[in-house]
Amino acid sequence: MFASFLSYSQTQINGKIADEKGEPLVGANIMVKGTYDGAGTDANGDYSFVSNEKGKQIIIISFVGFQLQEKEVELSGAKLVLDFKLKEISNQIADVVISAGAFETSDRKKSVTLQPLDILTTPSAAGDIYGALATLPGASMVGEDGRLFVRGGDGYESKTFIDGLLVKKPYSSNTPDLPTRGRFSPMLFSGTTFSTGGYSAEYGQALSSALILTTNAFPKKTQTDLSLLTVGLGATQTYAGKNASLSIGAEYYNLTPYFSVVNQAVKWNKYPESLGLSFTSRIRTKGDGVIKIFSTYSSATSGLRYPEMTSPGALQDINLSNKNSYTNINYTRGVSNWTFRGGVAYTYDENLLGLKAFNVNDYNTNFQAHFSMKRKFSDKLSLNIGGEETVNLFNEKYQESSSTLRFKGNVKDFNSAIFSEVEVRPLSRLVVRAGLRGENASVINDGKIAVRTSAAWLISRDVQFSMIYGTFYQTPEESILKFKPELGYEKAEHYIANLQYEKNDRLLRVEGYYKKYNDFVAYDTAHSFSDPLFYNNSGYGDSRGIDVYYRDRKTFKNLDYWVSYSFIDSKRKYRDYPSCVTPPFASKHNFTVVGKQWVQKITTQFGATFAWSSGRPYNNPNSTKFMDKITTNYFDVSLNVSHLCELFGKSTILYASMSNVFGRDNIYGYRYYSTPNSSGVFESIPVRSESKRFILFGLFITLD
Amino acid sequence: MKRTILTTLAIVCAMLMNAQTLFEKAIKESLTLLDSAKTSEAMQSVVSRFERIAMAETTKWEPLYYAAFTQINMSFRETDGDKKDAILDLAEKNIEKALSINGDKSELYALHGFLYQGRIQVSPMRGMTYSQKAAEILEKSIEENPENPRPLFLMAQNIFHTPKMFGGGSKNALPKALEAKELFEKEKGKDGIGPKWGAKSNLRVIDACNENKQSILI
Repeated sequence: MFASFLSYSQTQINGKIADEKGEPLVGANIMVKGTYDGAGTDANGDYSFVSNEKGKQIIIISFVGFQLQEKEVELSGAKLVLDFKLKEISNQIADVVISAGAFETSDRKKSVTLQPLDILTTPSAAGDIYGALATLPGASMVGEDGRLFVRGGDGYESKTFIDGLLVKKPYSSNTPDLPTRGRFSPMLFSGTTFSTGGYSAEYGQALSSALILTTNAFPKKTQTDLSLLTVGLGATQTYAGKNASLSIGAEYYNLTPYFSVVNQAVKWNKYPESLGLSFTSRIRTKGDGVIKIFSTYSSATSGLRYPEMTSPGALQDINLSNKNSYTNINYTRGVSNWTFRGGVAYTYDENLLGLKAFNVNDYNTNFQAHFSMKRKFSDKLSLNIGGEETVNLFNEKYQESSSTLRFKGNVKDFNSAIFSEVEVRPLSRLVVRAGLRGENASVINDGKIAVRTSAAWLISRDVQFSMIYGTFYQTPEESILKFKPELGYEKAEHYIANLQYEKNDRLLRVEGYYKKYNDFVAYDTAHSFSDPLFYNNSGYGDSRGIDVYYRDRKTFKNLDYWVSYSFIDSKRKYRDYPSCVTPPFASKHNFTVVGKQWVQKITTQFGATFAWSSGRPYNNPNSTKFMDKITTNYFDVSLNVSHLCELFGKSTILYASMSNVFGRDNIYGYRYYSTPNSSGVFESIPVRSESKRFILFGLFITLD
Repeated sequence: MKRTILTTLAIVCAMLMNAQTLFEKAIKESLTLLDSAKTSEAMQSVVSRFERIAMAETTKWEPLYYAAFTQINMSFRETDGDKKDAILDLAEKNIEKALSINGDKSELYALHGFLYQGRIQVSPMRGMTYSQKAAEILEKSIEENPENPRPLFLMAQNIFHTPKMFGGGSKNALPKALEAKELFEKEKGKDGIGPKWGAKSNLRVIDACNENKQSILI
């Protein structure tokens, strides 16, 4: 009797909860509204519970990412079987971001990112940011130069920004045919966004590519870092307070010991030597504002014997001395619903180059102020607006040693820019970004408006399609403007389509692009290169290609590897080119594999880079056709190993790396003598690395 | 008349108290279930329970807090990186919701710090970014309530797992863990359904620090 009473007052409810396609939902919640009576679904989507409630009640079914469902039922004690189908809320998959054009750091999509440690442990990079980026598709290996060459673009078409501000001289100064390196250590940055095209309207003055670096936030604690390498040594002292921090570092490199042991192809007069100082500070201000200060100074000298290029055998001395300072001050804070960021950057660079026949002294001062304001109005709409003023002063003194011929070049430019960018999500799977950038360079005395638009469509949870169109303007370089300031902007248009598949720490990206160049500066070589009469904006060109990138950190335990392939078909007529040809920096096929295996047992990481690219065009003056010759393929295997251990109770990294393990004689191109030999033939010398292999040992110790 | 008002008041009070105790009872029961949950399925059913309570008690932050707490613990059992991230995404939503209804900031920030530690488990390559994020939000948690032992304990754990060269190691972790221990002892007698977890794990951190062990995540 009692039992039957109970069964009358309690109602058992069970059933199944599934999505619209009938797939069972695991962990969905069902309950009687206003009570705690309910249950979650099991692995089959089944649920079952009893309720003490009676009469008309409302049942609620909820599951994250699905629309809440309510149903009125009569609880009478009679067993109820209720099945539900839930509708997906589309805006739950609003994770869509524009993925075309850039290799970006973000919290979640880690697989496309190069973290500071990734850069340090890429064998072929030898600790250089640009060296590591060269392993990504779209960037070409140009062994004798070292700068970034993106998608058939010249080195000057890529710019580097730190915390939103321009770095005028991001590369160390170099002597001819020897590769340059980035001035800054990868450990200074917590994020890198490497845009291989179609970058945001917030940045300008780069025809091909923008590298956007974000400096580290607050250091965690007071400590001393020491590094001892076969090529130099360094020390950094960091003080970390609650609301402020300070880091002071010094590094000194001298290649004398290394070069006197390892045979060099280049005859050095003065082995490269450099001194660098750095200062970093972070200050927290009221209202979660942060001030970042970053300042560096470096001085470097080197000297070598280089062919005179007039006739075979003759060598001349080339001496280089460079001083560079860079300061970047940045302030970020949230004001009501806006995020404000403002900053200034200052570059001073002094480059003294002495050759047998002449001296060239370049002095460059660059100042930039930049601000941006971002606001998210809703999940569907956000806005980014801002402006920028750049002052560029360039001075060159050229003097011939055997005559009184002098030349003084001056370039003074004030570049003002404003930009605004709107991001709209009309549908949850679709995001559209539209931006405008207005720019005016005083040296050109003309304004331009650049358009940047992009859109991304999330096809399914793992597959995304993006498209970009953008126009880009760049003021000609000082090396041209010093002869003829009355020139117009060079222009590029980018068309990009990208398909990205990401699942389970595996990522595949395929990106196709078309880049159209107009108004390249060109001049006629029949006349002196310094004659302004023959300079104009009549050059043009284009690049088309496909970039493929695959990264996998899942399949093999503790192995992280990426594979890059790019196909570039690029032609241009610019500078002194008599016809439209493939430039020497654009090899057709580029293939790179980078792998890193961490072995926990011996706390050691082993890394390998395999790089192959097809031959590069070069011009042979003995041939009647311009730039019709192609070098042999480039091939390099580099290895490294990093071991973590304790030395005298201090945590230590032991590091060793070797480039070009197989000692392949890679030839980057040929230099021809300016006068033919007795039989009327122009002789040449090949351009190679300064040594077959580069071996580096290092010891990094942290004291606390 | 007066009597009726008083009676009504008494009834309302009784109902409120009843509701209060029912709520507390439901939370406490769920916490007991959580203690005995040994499988992901059992933990998921505890999450569902807390989420049901949260739906019935729309002004209470505790059920959301515990739902997120259970989800974070669940993510530690999961081996697939994508699934870990998916569970932590749900936990993050629960934390945000709890903050939006004026939940205890110090506790919720601390839990978010714990969540970031869960993100590191997906890929050691994330260590740098997420230990930094964890450190930042744990600082905020301490600022909100310096008496809360959990952010200090989590901070100690964070430092313990960070390589020495980035400012981690047992030597640096120990002072924080000891400070947390003192605060945990003060908290012992406290009643109610507020968060009280962490004391035992904190002792384990202290032991590990004293043995000068270190597990390095790069």
